[in-house]
Amino acid sequence: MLSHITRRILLMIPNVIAMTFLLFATVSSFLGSPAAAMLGQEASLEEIAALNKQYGFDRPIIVQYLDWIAHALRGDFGRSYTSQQSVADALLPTIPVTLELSLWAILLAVVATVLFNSVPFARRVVQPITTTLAVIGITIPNFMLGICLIFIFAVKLRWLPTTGWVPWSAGVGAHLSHIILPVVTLAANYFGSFTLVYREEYKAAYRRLFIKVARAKGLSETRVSLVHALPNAILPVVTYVGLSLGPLVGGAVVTEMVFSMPGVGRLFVGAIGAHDFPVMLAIGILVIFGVMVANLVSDIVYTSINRQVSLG
Amino acid sequence: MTESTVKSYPMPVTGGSPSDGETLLDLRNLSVSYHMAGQQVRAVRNVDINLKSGEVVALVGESGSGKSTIGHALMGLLRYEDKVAVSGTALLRCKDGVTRDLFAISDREMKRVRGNDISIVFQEPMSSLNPLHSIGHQITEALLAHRKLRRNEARERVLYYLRRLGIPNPEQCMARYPHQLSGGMRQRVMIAMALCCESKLLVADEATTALDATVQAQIIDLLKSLQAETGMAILFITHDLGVVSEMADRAIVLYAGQIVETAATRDLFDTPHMPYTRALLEAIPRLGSSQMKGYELRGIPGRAPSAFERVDGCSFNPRCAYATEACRATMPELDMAKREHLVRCLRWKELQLGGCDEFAAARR
Repeated sequence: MLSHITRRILLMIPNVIAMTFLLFATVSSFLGSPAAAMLGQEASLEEIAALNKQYGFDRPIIVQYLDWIAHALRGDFGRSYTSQQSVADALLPTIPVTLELSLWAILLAVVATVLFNSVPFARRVVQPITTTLAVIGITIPNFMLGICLIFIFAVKLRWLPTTGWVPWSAGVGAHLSHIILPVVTLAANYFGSFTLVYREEYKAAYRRLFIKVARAKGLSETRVSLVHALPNAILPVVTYVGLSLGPLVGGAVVTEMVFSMPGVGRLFVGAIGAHDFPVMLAIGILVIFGVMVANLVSDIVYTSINRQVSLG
Repeated sequence: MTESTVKSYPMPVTGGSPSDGETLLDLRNLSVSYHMAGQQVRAVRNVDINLKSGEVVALVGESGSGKSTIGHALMGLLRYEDKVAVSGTALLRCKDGVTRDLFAISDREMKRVRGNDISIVFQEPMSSLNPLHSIGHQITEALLAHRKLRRNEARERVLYYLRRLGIPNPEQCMARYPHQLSGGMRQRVMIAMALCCESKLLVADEATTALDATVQAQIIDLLKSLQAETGMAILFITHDLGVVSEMADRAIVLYAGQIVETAATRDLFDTPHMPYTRALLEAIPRLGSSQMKGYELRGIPGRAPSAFERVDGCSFNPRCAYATEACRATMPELDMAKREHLVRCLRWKELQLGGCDEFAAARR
């Protein structure tokens, strides 16, 4: 198990090198010289050439890449072209925001999925509307749901603040009240897809013989459901959670924009608009790492639930 | 344990009237019908079974004869199926001294009876266990469903049963997962699970069918010694008449959801009155009998009617060599051939079917 985890982490290195090169090459060939973007439309060719020389944009891509990665390995991701901040300074404060939103959203989606689709009481009461909720969750675009929620809960009912981010230090209540709506917005989509996966698995698990055996022991239906059907049905959801962290960043971009959250997603949108090459690259790497770590974690969780499969 | 395969089993001593003699289960007029494709399909028709404490009764029949349905109905497992109607009464004398009708009590009460007063071992040990939980967890759970025990007490009891079922390294086995055990071991675990609350009635639903012959013999040995030790009654559901002759005090032959013959095992093998029973006996393959004079392994022509089909008259008549016009017109009632020997055949008195001689001889 430990050796497997070490191996997986070591395997990330060639992965990251390949992915970053691809990212580097695509971004630079798409955007062309960042100098033009930095200097604006009135810049003369001489000015652009001078800036290209200053930043080294006139060198071949492979050289630029090697130069960049050599710095990156030392933790230096360069400076943002727009704010002249170091990339680390720009990026690091945004990570906890996005991470917190994402983790809450996934947690909420998983808990709601399991609750609505396996507790016998909840199944009876909520079952008829879960399909509708799931389909709404999948089909409605994030930004629309976000705006609807703001309209209902912040503008009309005035229960929650409209937008913005308040750190934990400003008070737990204030912090949570600000993140509820974005978390729900992000979770809706996951709730939808998890429900559709989980429910079919749950039904399949319920048809298996060990369910009859569990009943024959004299267990309550709740116990049969939660101890015997649930762990079997949750397995594909575990894999799915691992796979969905990549797309989650996409969801976070929109949600963070709608709710003005100072997260990675909003930084990313800003960086694209400004052709801010170093920031885009650093975020790219962050996402690659995030997806790989999430897959590793979901594999570990999977094997700890299902002992028939072992890492190694 | 290769000796088990060649070992012949002694005839059960009880021979139909167990020492206890008290009625444990009185199943009356059980009918089970499924609602399928817009029609009512009767899988079990008016079955009566009386089981005394400590008695081993075999329920014999081909696939689709309704024998497993009876077991599942008794366990209350059909309550969870949609479109299944169970009628009749099943009076079970529970351990607390109260006699309950298993078909009339609430789900809540049934939950207390299941696993405590009546247990079941299913046909497929490979899929009976939840792959995600350890063996120890799954047996302990059965025990704790009915007993208030401390952790270590429960553990001791589970270990006792695992040991009693001949499982090597019971401590290790408790920590294992189902996929790490063989079929025979899993079935032992299932039996330990069924026994751990000391039910007075065990339904063995083809409990040995999926196992290979050697393991089958071991499990049958085990069930016999456990039965002798605990005095529990067993309803042994099987299609294997060899197993019936080894295990059962009494046998009930089912055909198309109906009882067609019931008698003490020896009696049934010696003097079957129903042509179907006789045909079943002829269909048992025997080692070395091919050299015997006049012996022929015969199958039963045709096939059993599916629950969808309606057969006029006796349900066995299309396959019966002795069928007459009368057999095709009237459904025979169960008739008493002698004490504790019932037969559903219009012509049983005139037919001299003869028993399964060498089979009976082997047991004497």
